[in-house]
Amino acid sequence: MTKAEFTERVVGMQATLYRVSTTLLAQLCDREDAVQSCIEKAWQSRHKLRDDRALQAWVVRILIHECYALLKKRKRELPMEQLPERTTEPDAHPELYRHVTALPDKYRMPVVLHYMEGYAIEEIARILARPKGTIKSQLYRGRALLKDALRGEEADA
Amino acid sequence: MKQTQWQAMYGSVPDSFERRVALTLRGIEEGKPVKRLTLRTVLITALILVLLAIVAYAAIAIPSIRDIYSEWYGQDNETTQLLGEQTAQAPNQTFELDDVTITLTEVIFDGNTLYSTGVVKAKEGRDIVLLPPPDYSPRDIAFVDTMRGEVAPDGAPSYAELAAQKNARLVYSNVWIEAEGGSGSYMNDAMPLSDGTYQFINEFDDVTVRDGRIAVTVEAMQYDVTDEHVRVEGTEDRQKWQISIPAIAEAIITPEPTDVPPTPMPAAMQSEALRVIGESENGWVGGPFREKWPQEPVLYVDNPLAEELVMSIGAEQWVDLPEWDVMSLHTTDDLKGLMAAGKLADLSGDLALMDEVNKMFPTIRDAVMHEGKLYAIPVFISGEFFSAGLLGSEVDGWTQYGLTEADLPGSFEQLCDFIVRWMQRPAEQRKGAILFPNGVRHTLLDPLLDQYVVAQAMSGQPLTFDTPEFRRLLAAMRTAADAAKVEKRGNVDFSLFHVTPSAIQNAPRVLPKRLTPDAPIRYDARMTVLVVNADSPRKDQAMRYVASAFDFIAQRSRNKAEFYEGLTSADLPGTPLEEVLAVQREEGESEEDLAKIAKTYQPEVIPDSELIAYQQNIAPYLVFPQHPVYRRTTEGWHAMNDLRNQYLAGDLDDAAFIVALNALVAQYADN
Repeated sequence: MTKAEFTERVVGMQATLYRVSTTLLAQLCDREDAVQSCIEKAWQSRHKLRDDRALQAWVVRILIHECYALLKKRKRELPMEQLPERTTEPDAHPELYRHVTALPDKYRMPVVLHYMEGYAIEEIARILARPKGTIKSQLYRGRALLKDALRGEEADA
Repeated sequence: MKQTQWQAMYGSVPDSFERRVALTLRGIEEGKPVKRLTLRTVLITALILVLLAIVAYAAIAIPSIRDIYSEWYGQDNETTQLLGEQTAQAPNQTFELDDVTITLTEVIFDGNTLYSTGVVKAKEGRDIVLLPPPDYSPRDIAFVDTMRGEVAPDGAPSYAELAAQKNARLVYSNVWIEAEGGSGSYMNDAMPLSDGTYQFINEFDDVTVRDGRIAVTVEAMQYDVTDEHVRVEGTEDRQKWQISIPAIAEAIITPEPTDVPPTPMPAAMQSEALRVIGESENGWVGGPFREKWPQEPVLYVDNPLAEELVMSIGAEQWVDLPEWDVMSLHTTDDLKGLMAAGKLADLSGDLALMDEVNKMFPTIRDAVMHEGKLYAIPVFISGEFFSAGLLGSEVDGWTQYGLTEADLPGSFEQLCDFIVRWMQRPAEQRKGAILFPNGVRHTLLDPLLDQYVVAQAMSGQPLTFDTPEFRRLLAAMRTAADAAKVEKRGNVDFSLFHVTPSAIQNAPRVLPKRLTPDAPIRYDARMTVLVVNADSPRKDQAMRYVASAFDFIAQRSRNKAEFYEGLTSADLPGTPLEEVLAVQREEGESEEDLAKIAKTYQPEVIPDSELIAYQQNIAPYLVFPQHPVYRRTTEGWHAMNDLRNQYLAGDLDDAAFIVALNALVAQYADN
């Protein structure tokens, strides 16, 4: 894969990269750091990718690892109570966003990858390195939790 | 909710993020040429893999539950850390089926959820190849965890090929670990290991602790499968073991049988009790009656005809039934025959019931009425449109293969043609994609049989498989299956067709359920109904029982794609939960009770978009086939299933299959 091809593909997937990083990281500056590190690592180890068509799923997987690594670093640097609030963009849907980001770790990423990014269950299993059946049950569970949360909000309103 | 709506939640990509991506891309440099694996490396890897797979007893350290969770969710994950604190390594306990040994290596309870893991392997000396559950196919590369991103070397054998090489049987097995009081096993999975075994892992929620202990059930099964993933009849072995573990970190497993007998109703009450067949005493259908009239006893009668026969009951079984007032029947029973024979009470006198039934879609209304009178109350509808069973496609992914939505097959016949055309492509143009997760014949035979039976039912003619159309479609399926025989699975990125999670959510992507392009679309369904005995001495009680059940279901299901308006009414939309709650609030219900109502009435909210999709795409096309061979769980259905398996296993050719199908129809038509 040439640099031009790689650049074109990554630019084409940057909205996905933004959403995936936003799912895990509260601060925009952290998301930017994670995506930079992800792109560099993907480029350096591109020979490991056997089929170029799987580039996007592979890059997403690297990005998720980078986000977790950054999160871990931030936790070491800051006491939990000092972690900053999540920031959202002006045209976002804040309620839904809040509920999605409040989902437990194990459900959040499958929900985001499936419902928002349109990945098939098999692809998510590969990206997250979890079995396919686990992804299915986590999607089911995540969706149910999300519905409960949204219902609770309606009832409160 | 559409994908674009989900995505909108994040807003647009900020300029600073785009700039960072652009700057990073500008900074990367052209490196050395991409290094691929050499042929020698691949061959050696494949050889090692085969050797490992054949040596099924090589010791391999399986990861602990905490290791697995660390890998899946990270070391810092809350659950992972909790498991780290509470990890209890139970002594290995083994359970044995015919060909396999199950070793439970670890069971952890975190105060709510029970986590368990272990390994399944072939018994020493058994010439078998294990096929791990639940999604692995005989055509997947053997003992490579491709589902989690492990890469299979080119040329590595599939499970089926490995079995053929070893001249061994292919054996599918599964293990479930459940606990008392749980809300359900929401995770049951397996990971193939390179030594020919597999590791299973289970999570089970909301576990009950009694006297500091948890009652755990270990259930395992095995059966042989063909290389098309078809079960070989007569090979199943299934067993359950009860064990008890302490609800503390140091879990020690000890066998302990558990069997609690039910408490019988006093004899004096039995004589006046309303007698119900086909429901259980804890069932929610009878809940409103028991709650509203607690002084009126209800006796849930065991059926001496056995559970299987209740599902296929007809007028001739009536004489063998115990005394009953209310019964739960199915549309696959001879419901119309029972109505015509005067065995069921006329419920038309209840105008409220009639009014509700009249709002339903004609297909559903007609199934419970006879000559303008109401004889049955719909309770529940099930069908493939809710879950697995229908073929769908991820059209978005088709473009990479030069396919578009216009290429989507519009019928069973077109699907067969599509398969042939797809397989005519050079292998390079199919690389990374497979047609179905399972084999072609295995995937297509059920839709063919189901759709054919439905089409015959719609035609009003007696069911026969000896028609030019069935022969032609069977031949088309065989041609497609033959063409697809050369398809190889391995590092697959994409399945052109798959079983949809819900036809309601995916209606646009579901392949139309019809045999030929000019035939009407039909979704076959089964409906559970409540009926009242025409000769019941407790008819008033029985009527109140069914009416209260119906009223409850009606409220509970207003926004749920289970039954009632969301499914059945031609009028849009159903009453939203907010309106139901507003009425209840006006009537003085407390907030606590309102929360309970919300939970009970609307356990799963179906968005308007899904209701509309259902009402437009599915409900008008529902049919309820009644032929005995179509009744799930009946003897006739089992016989048809056996026949289907024989055909898939290659024991019957097309002509013999048709003859056998017709013999079965004749045998069970009058039962």
